[in-house]
Amino acid sequence: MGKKEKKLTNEEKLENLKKQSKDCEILYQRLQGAIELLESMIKENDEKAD
Amino acid sequence: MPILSLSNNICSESQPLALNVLLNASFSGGTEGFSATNADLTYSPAKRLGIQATATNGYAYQNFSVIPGVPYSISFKWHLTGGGTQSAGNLKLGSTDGGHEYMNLNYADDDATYQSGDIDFTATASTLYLRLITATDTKYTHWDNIIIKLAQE
Repeated sequence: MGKKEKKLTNEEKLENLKKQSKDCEILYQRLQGAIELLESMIKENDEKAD
Repeated sequence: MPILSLSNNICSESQPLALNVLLNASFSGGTEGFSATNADLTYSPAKRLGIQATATNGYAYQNFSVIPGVPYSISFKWHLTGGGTQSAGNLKLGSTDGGHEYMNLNYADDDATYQSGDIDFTATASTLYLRLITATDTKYTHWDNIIIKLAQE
């Protein structure tokens, strides 16, 4: 028999969602930084090629 | 996180990347993003922000959003032009307009070359206020490459 999972309270669900939302914000800021860097590298290469 | 590792590998960067949460902080687009109180903002060919005070402690400022409880770093350059036009200056970073609980840095007016700062902080509020101050009426401070982003993991 599998172990019965503990049912989360609404408060715990809310906390989990807030944590996931915060993690998404961090991921967004990291990805935007990578996108901006790549865009500037591409622009620099294009300018050199011209 | 796999996606982040991939983006870092693509960029051949050894340091984690992150968005600069300040608008136009390299000043490549003029003074956009910064407002002034008791000061005139200038934009030089060297693409840096000049703050000429029109009263004692005139300042430029910008408000921006961060994720509370997460470490960020601020780095910046600060410069005095010399020739008697320079002023002492001050950088404040806080959670209220004019607040400085995260940073309150003072610079004397005899710093003749570019100075650099790089400091970590963790905010408890989601909106922060950056204030760059020129202490002496009619005189200048200059600032460049102000970067506020998620600190290294």
